[in-house]
Amino acid sequence: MAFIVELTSRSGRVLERHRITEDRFSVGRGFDNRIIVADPYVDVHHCVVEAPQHQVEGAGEGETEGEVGSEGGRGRESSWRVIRVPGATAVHVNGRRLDGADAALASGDTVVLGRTHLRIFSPDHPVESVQVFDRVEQFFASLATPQGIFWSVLVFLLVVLADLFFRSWSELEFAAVLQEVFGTIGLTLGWAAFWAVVARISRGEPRFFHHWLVAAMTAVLGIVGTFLIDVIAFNTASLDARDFLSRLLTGICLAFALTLNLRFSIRQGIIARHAWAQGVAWAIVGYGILAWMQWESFFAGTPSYEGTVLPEIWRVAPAVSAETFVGEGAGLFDFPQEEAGKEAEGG
Amino acid sequence: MEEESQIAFALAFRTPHFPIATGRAYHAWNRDTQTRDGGHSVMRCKRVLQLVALGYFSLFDLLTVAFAQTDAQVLFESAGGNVYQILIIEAESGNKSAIGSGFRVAGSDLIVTNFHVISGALHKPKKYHIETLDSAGKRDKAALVDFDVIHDLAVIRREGEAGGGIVIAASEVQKGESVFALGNPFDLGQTIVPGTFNGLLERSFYQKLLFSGSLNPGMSGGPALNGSGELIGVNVATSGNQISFLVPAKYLTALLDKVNQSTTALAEDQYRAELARQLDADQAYKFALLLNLDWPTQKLGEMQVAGEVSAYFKCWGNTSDDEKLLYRLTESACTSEDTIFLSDTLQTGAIDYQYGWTTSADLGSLRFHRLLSESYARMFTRNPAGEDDVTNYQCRTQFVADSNDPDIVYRTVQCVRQYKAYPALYDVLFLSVMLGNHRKSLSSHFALSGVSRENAEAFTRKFMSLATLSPAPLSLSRGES
Repeated sequence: MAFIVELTSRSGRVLERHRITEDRFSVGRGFDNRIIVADPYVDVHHCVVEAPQHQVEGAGEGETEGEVGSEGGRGRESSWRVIRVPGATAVHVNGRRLDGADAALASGDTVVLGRTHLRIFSPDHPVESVQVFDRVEQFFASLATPQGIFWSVLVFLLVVLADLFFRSWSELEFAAVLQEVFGTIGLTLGWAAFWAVVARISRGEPRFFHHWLVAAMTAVLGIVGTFLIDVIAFNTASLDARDFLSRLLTGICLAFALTLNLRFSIRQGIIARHAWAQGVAWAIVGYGILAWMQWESFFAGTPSYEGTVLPEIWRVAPAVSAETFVGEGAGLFDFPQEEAGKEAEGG
Repeated sequence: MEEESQIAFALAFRTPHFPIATGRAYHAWNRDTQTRDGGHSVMRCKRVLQLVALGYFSLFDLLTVAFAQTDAQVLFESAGGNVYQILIIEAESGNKSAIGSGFRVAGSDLIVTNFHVISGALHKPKKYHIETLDSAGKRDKAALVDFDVIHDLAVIRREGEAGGGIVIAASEVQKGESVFALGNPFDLGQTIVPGTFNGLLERSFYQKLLFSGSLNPGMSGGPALNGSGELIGVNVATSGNQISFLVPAKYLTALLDKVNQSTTALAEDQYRAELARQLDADQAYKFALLLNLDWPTQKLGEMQVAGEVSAYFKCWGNTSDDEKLLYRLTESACTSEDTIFLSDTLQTGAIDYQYGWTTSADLGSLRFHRLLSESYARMFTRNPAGEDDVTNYQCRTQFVADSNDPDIVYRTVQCVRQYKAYPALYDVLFLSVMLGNHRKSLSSHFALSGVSRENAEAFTRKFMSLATLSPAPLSLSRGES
C-alpha cells in the first residue's frame, strides 16, 4: 500500500509532493513525523493516516482499486482513516471538522491541519486533464458540457428574442429576427474569439466556450440591467439618474466581462486574483474618465428623454398637481453664475 | 432666412434658372443689351419678334415687361448711387467673410443694412470690421451706430458723406404695385430686380412685406423702392421661387428716429446690453399677447388639444399609415414662423407645440409604453445654439395628475437651458405622456426659445391646463384588452 501526499496552498497550488510506501504515516511539526510541516498552527504530532488494518492483501488489487475514491465502497472498516492524535488541535476533512478521534478518507480528499492543506491520493488515482480548484472556473467548466452548452445557448437566445420583441412595434419579420439573433451571436462570438487569441498568445488555455459564455452573460446582464434601470429612472425626478445608472451598468458589464476573460486568459493561480482586481480597477478608472468627459466638457444640444415611460403599474412615486410641478420646476432656471460671466468676458 | 454665410454654398450649387415666362423675357433682354451697342428701338423690335416667334408669352406680358424695364432703368440710374455693398472684413486675412447690401438714407451719412449682415462685426468687433463699397468702387470703413435685432435692421455710419440718399415713402404701397429691389447678389455686382408687392404677411408676429421677385444671397439690406424711387422696405429674406420678404419702412423710420434722438452712437460694450434689452422686450410683448388669448382647442383622438392658438401659428398634421405597424400615431404640430437672427448659431424666438395621439390594439402594455418612450426621445428646439451660446439643459421629470380628472396621470418632463450672453433668457422644453392605458395615449410637447422665466412658467401653466382637458371620461381599466 502506498500514498501520494500533496502539500498545497489554500488556492490549491502544489508546494510539496511525497510518495509514501508504508501503510501508515504521521503528520506534524516534530522531526519524527513522516511528513514534517513548518506550520506554527500544527501540533508536534497532529494526525496519523493509515490504510485499512484488516485488509486481505490476497483479495486482489482490482478490488482495492474499486474501493479507492468511491466513498465507503465496501464498508467503513475497509477504507483509509485519518486519526487525530489525542490532544492535538482540530483536523478538517473536506472542509468538515473531525468530531471524533478519526474519520474515513478517500483518495483525493483534502485534510487541513492548522493552516496546512494536504491532499491524499492513492498512486492509481486518475489524473484529471486540467486541475480546477477555482470556483468560477468550476462553474464555467460545469457549463462546458453538452447539456450546459445547450441550456446556455437557449437562455441566451430567449433573452435576445424577448428584448427584440419588446423593442418592435411592427409585425416581426423572419429576416429581421434572424438579423438580430445572428448579429448578437456574431458579436459575442467575436468577443470570445478575441479573448481566445489573447489567451493563446499569453500561453494560457484558449477555452473558447468559456469566453463565449462570458460574452453571452454580459449581453444578458446588459439587457436585464437596462430594464431595471428603466424602472428606477421611471420613479425618479431627475433625467440624469438614468444617464448615471446606465453608465454604471456599462461599467459593471465591462468589469464583469473583462475580469472573467482575464481570469480565463491568464492561467489560474495568484495571477487570477490580481486580474480580478485589475479588471475592476480598469473599469472604475475607465468609467470615471468617461463620466468626467461627459459631465465636464461635452455639450449636449438635446436632452435625453429615453426610457422614461413605463406602464403606470410600475409607478411608485406620487403624482403632483400641475401647479406644484411648475412651482417645483423653479430651480431649473438657476444656473451657475460663473458660466454666464465667463462668456460675457470672452465676448 | 437668407444669410450671407450661405453664399459660398449657394454659389457652389448655382444652376441656370429657367423660371416663369416673364422671367425668361428679362433674361433674354438683358443678355441682348449687354452684347450690343446702341440701336435700342431696332433691338427691341428684334427681341419682340424673336420672343413672339418662340411663343413664350402673350402680348400683354410683353407690354408689362417693356414698361417695367423702363422704370427699372430710370430707378437704377437715380438710386444706384445710393446703394452700397457691405463687406464684413476679417482682420487677420484682410478678406471679406460675409457680404450684404445697404443704402444711404436721404439727408444723412447713415447707411442702412440688415442686422444679420453685420452681426459678425457686432459680436466680435476685434475680429471683424465693416466696410462699404460704393457704385464707383470706393471702399471705406464704417462704424455701427444702432440696430433693431427684432426686425433685422442695422444702421452704420460712413464718414464724410451727406446729401442725396433714398427717401422713405410717405404713403403706403398697394398690393399689386411694382416694386424694385436693389442689391449685390452673390457678389456679382449691383442689380435691380423688379417684382410685385403682395401685401403684408399677416400670419407673423413681425410685419413683413411679401415681395414677389427674386432676392438672392448678398442682396440683404438693399432697398426696395416703389415706382417713384421711394423706399418701401428693406430686403431681408427669401423662400425661393420669387417668394421674398422685405422689412417695412416704418420700422426703419422708428430706428432712425431713435438714432437721431440720441447724441452718441452705441459703444462696443453697450451692444450686448442693448441686444438683451430688445430681446427681452420682444419676448415680453409676444407672450403677453399669447397668454391673454383664449386658446382654441381641437379634437385629437379622444382628447381636446390646443389648435392654432393665434394666427401667428401654423399647424400641420399627419397620421402614420404603414400597415405593418402595430400602432397608429396621429400628430398635430404647430409652429410660429418667426425667428430672430442673433448669430449664425443663435436663432431665437421660435415657439412650437405639438401633440401625438397613439393608439394600438396589438401591443402589450410594456411594448406600448416603450413605444411612447421612443417617440418621447426626439424633442428639441429649433434654435441650433452651440456650446458658446447656451448652457446644457437642466431637466426634471415628475408624475403630474390631470387637473380635471386626478385618475389620469402624466409622465412630465421639463428642460431648461440658459443663454450665456443673455442670462435672463432661456430655451424651455416641455413634454408629457399620458399613462394608465396601453391602448391609447396622448403626448404633448412644447419648445420655447428666448423666453424669460416668468413667461415660461405662465406658458407652462396655461399649456398644462389645456392639454389635459378631456371631453369624455376615458376608460382607464388596465386589464382591458
